[in-house]
Amino acid sequence: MLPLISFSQKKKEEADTVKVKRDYRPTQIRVGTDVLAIIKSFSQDGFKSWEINGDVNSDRYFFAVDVGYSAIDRNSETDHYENKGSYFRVGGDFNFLKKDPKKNPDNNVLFMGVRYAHSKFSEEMTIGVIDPVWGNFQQPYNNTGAKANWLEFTGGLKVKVWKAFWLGYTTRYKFGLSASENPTTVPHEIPGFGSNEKKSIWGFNYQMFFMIPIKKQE
Amino acid sequence: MFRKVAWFIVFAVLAVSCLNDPDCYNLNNNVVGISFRKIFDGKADTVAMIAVRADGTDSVFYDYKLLSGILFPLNYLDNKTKIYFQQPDGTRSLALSYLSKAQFVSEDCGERFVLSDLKIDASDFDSTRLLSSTLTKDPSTNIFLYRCPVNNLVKFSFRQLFLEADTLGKPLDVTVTGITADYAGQLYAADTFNTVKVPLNPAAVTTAFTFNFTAGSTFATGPKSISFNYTKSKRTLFEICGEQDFYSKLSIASTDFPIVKLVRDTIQDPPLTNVIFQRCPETNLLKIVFKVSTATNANAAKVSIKKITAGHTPQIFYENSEVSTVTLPLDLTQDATSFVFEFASGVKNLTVSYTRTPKVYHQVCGASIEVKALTFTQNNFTNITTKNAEVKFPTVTNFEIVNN
Repeated sequence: MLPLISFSQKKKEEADTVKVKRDYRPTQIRVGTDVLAIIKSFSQDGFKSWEINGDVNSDRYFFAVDVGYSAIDRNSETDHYENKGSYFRVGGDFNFLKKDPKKNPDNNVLFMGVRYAHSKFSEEMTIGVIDPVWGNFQQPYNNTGAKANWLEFTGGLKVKVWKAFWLGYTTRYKFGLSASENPTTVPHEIPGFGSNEKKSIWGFNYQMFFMIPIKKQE
Repeated sequence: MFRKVAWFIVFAVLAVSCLNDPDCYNLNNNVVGISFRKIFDGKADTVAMIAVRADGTDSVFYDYKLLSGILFPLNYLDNKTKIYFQQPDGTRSLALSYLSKAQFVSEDCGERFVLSDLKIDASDFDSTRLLSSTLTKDPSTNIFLYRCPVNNLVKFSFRQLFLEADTLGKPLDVTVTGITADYAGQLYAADTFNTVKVPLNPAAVTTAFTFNFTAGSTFATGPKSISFNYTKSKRTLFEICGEQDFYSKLSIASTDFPIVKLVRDTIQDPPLTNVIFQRCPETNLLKIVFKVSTATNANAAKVSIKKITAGHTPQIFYENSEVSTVTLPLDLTQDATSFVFEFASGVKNLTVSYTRTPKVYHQVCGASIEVKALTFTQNNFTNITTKNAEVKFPTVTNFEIVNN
């Protein structure tokens, strides 16, 4: 009796297991922007920034590209500082949510990934110092054609909200910063990275996306 | 859909709340740590510094101090700073260069300067060593400044002898308005010390020093001099120091210090005591303590004294003062001394009788007088008791006057 039951169970398991052939051909392109950058551009004096985010899928992998720009104009009591520059990031993400018509019908994305980032920027500042020991001092400084490279670990979520409209956020651990200096200045702000005070830093993007299908999903 | 949007708003708020303001304190890393060292053993050296100055500023750093190292704020508005160390034996300089880069920090903090690549460009110290070219916000030692042995510093010690048989005595602080040498004028400004090191004339084999003691100094008042003879011989101990003079056979040619002992006739670095000046014990000091009685005991209490006079001297003691203890000199030529205490509340008389016995406490001090059997023979203090009937040095309480 026991061998018969065992045989019938094995047959049932084979019938339940359907091998799905994985298709790595891209099916969609998502294009979006960082909402926080836009809000800060309108809400903060002397700050202008935008960032375009895009990704294209390949099964549960995503090729991701970000392009951005920022311009900063700040004044302290004795100093004036300007920074303008652009940056890009390239890398890939992996989606931890499986394609599942029942549990994940929208193909939402819970991802982790890596990025290589590069920034090119210029700084201009006029520094004024009032020092009781070394006297008063005022001098303009320029740092044009400055470059910086860094790496990022990324993680986040992209969720379909309505039809082609998606919302998402990305947290970034930025590290391995290498920024060019000239003989007279140290960069203050690196577009896309943030403050040059620390060689590793956390970042956050809050994004809106539009998804463009390029191939009908099977 | 609304639940999804709500979650995203929560994350956005969290992200914005993570932003914080920078700390504006101590932004520049422009402090260089300099340590003074001896070539002889590489250990820290304590040097007398009259002033530390630098090019480009009138500021004086480390105004007259004994120190073994300094933290010096470099001129971050330039890529070089020349530091001048003004010491009793001359002024030495240290020229440093570095890279000073400006960096904007924030609207609140303004700018900072980041200094790096510290180098020693020139120095007239005997030897230098750059330990670290990195300047940090938390200052550490970047540079060692070495000196060759200084072979001409003669060390004096001032000591107080007591009634005990100890022939060396204990360190005695003395106050001078200055010390001069016959070859260099003023060597030291006004100071208080119990040991002092002064340089012998390197260009001669005799040197005279004059100590100008302040009025009322424990040791003496006015100038006291001492002159030395010595021999010099040349030797090369360290290649970097070249041929140096070494001093020996130090002897005292003349002095008007009352008690002088030459205990070492060679000069060492670090200096060891060569000459001891001693002060003899005083055997005539009577100590009286004023107390006020409480329900259970009597505590020391300050009294207002207009003046105290003694029958054997025109000197006035404790004029217009408020004290709880008085120390008064007994007349060693008589068996009794009379004192008149003038208080705000009235006049009191006290006559103290005692025995006098000739005694030699220390050979160098000669014969002295031992005072014993102290008693108060005439007084109009109502409550006076004898606590110790023998004069000691250092003084002990002999009489206690209690006012209730």
